[in-house]
Amino acid sequence: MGSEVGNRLFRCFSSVFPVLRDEQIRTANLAALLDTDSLAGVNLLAVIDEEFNVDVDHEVLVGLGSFDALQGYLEDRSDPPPRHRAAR
Amino acid sequence: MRLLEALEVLKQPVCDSAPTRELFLVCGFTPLHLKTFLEAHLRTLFPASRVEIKVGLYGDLDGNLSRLQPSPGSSACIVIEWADLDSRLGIRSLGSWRIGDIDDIAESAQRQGKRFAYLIAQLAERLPTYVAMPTLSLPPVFSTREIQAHHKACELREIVASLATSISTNYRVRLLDAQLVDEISPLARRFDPQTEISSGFPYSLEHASKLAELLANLLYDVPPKKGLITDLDDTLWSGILGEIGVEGVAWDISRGAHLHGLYQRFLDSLASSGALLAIASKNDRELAEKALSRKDILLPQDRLFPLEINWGSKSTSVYRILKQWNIMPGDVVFVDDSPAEVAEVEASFPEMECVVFPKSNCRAVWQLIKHLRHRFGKGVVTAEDELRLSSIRRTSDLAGSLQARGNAATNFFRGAEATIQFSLIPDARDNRAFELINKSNQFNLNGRRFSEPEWQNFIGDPATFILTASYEDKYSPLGKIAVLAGKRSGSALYVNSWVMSCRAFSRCIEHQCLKYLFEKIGIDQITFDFKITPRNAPIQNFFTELLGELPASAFAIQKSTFDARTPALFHRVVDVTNA
Repeated sequence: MGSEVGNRLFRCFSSVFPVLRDEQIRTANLAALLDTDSLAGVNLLAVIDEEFNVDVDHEVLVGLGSFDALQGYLEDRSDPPPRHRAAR
Repeated sequence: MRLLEALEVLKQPVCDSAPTRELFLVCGFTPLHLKTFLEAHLRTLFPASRVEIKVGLYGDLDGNLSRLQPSPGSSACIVIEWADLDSRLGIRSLGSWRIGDIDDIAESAQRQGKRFAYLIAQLAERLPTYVAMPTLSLPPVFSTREIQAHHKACELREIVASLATSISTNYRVRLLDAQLVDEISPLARRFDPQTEISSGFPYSLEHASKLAELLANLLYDVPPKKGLITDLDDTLWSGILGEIGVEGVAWDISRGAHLHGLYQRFLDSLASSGALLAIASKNDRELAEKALSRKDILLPQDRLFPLEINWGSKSTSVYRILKQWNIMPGDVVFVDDSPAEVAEVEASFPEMECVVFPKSNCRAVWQLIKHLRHRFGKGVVTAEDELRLSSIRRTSDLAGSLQARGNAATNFFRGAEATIQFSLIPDARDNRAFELINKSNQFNLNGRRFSEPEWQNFIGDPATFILTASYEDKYSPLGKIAVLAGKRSGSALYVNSWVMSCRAFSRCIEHQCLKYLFEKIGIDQITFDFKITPRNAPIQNFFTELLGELPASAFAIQKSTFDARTPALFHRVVDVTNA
């Protein structure tokens, strides 16, 4: 079992990249992954924004490089999951 | 629906044999998340289909509309935004917003609006078309403060309103109601300038999700309810008739009963669009009829049939009404102020929508009225809708009269000066034929339903024939009451669909339909794609009489067999095929 943020992030990745296996997501190189499919990149940013209520830039995402780094980045910044989030 | 959920819906596998539902999403912006949400909502609404959405080029709504080459069975969903009317009304083109250019923007929007009206009308001739007008705010192009309307902003909205009026009058176009969009998607949260600049997608995820859901529902055909059964006391009027008398019950504002007046007005409106209305009330019949005859009543008594006013159970009254109407419980809504009565009817008719009338709650009554309008809503009101109640009443009177005299119905109708008018032309504009096929259950060859694209595709096939029959006798016209549709191949005739309104039973119209086909087309055999369904007993009986036994599935009948077993027909037949 990963952390709650890790699990939510994993769900985002697997919804945008349904063909990737679990291990491929955990070890993915984000820059290479987004480079292969720009539409998937836009979708990934949108689902992460929606899920974590953060505004992640494409360059930031690429710069973080890996799933684990992105998870750490989100753990530092993100709100609780949407169902627990207070109305804004 | 959130984007994550939409993507997960799209990940679900679709059965290999599932039919494909092709949709053109025609817009001038990058369809991006709108496409994702739309596809996900359509997948949810049509779980047995494979949904395939095609899109056009960015920034060229005009070209996308002009170039669209639909394949059979497809539909088009057009989403217009301000930037499609003039690119300066978007933020990506960086066109001039100078005061001196505003007139030109309005003029070009006017021209483009007319062009879209033309293109959409052309497209609608070829395939079912669904349209959403601009849902975003106008950009801050105008010289006034945000709080003050600029006359050119008003003019632009008028251009859009005029375009909406023009295309909504075309019954083959379904226009998304802007009022509903306003109700569920806050205007200030619709635009996302960031994704508009970075991707050419102007909507926030929230707005894209809601707009897509509305569009998917616009595409999804829900058969309208056919009848409403209402209680009287504290429902159609305020007060208990047995306690306060005929003059005591009220529906006017001065006696605090305005909600009941509103409900009456609404039911009158429903009846005018073809809905059947009946009363199921535990009351003294004589008193109730007096109250229903009061001069100030807003729902005239002749809108109501039948009146089941007695002291028996509500479910028994409802059963009798359904029998008189000859429709299924699932096609009916029952409204009563008593939760116990509602529960009793619901227990007897689980398929029926049973609603408690919220007698002392204005907001809840308002919501109920809006809900009922939605459930009974239909795109087109036909002449047959207006005839329905009178013909059911007439049929019921005749049946009663026949029963009393012990005659056979067919004998009675021999003297009714009946005329049947046949037409053998596939007519894409004939909404009644499509409607009849999709709502008739009892005299129905196989229960097959068509989506609008499937119907257009079917009609568009040169091998297709559609026979429609309209009936009239000296008592009343019934309008178009039968449709027989199929394919011709050489000297063979295959009937894929055959339906007849239950109002037209016992008149030998079904025999006359087949006789007409045999003689008009000059064939010796007709093959029927027959299937036994739980609800098509009347057509089962007809075939049993004709063949001597009930066929188990598809079968063919020879002209000689038909001629030998058909009674002498008495109708005057008018053929308008070549008229």
